[in-house]
Amino acid sequence: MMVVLRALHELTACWKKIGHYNMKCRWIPGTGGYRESSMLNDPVHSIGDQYSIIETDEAIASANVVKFEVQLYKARDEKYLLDLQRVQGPQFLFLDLCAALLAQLQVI
Amino acid sequence: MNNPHAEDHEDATVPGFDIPNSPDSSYNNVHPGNEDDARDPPVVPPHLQHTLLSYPASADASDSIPLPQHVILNHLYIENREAPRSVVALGFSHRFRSKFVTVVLYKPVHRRGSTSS
Repeated sequence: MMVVLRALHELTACWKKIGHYNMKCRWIPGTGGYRESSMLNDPVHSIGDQYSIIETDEAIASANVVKFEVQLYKARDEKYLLDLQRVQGPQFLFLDLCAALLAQLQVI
Repeated sequence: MNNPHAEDHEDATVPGFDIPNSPDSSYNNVHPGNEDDARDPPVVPPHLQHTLLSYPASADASDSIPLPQHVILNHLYIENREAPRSVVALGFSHRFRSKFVTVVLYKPVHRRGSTSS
């Protein structure tokens, strides 16, 4: 779980605890990003930069807030399942954030 | 309350009954304490497996796709394919008024440590 929270922090997402191994998270595109240091050929690849054009208009930026819930489950054989559920926000931004989060967790 | 974005039509709201958003400051980024981690996480519920996107492709060809169960709406689906792969599919189903929309995003997989040539 700590690994997940660290990854969220890297992506400048905020969270609060809702329940047992359950966090509700909030992310605003354009407020920051993450640096994937392993990509040596493409040194500045930030998910936040892609959305930098949005942050100039505060009304649009607030409408693009992505809120989602993260729940950790235990599966069989010492395996864990991370469930991500969108609560609010544009669909593709949510999917893009999930991709960035899973890449940060080195699952993708 | 006027909101120009069509996105909000997705949640049918009655004026005056809108749930206010929780204050942004409530997202305090507190790390869970040790007592929280003492117990194991809850067991995986079985209904999460039955997403629209997890149905085999052949079954969808002849008939229309079945309606998604409400319990899996807005839950992320990730394609489970053997590595190595260059593209991964992410998707989820959500409700728009009386219909269901499934959104799929294909993203390239960045291989670590490899040089592009």
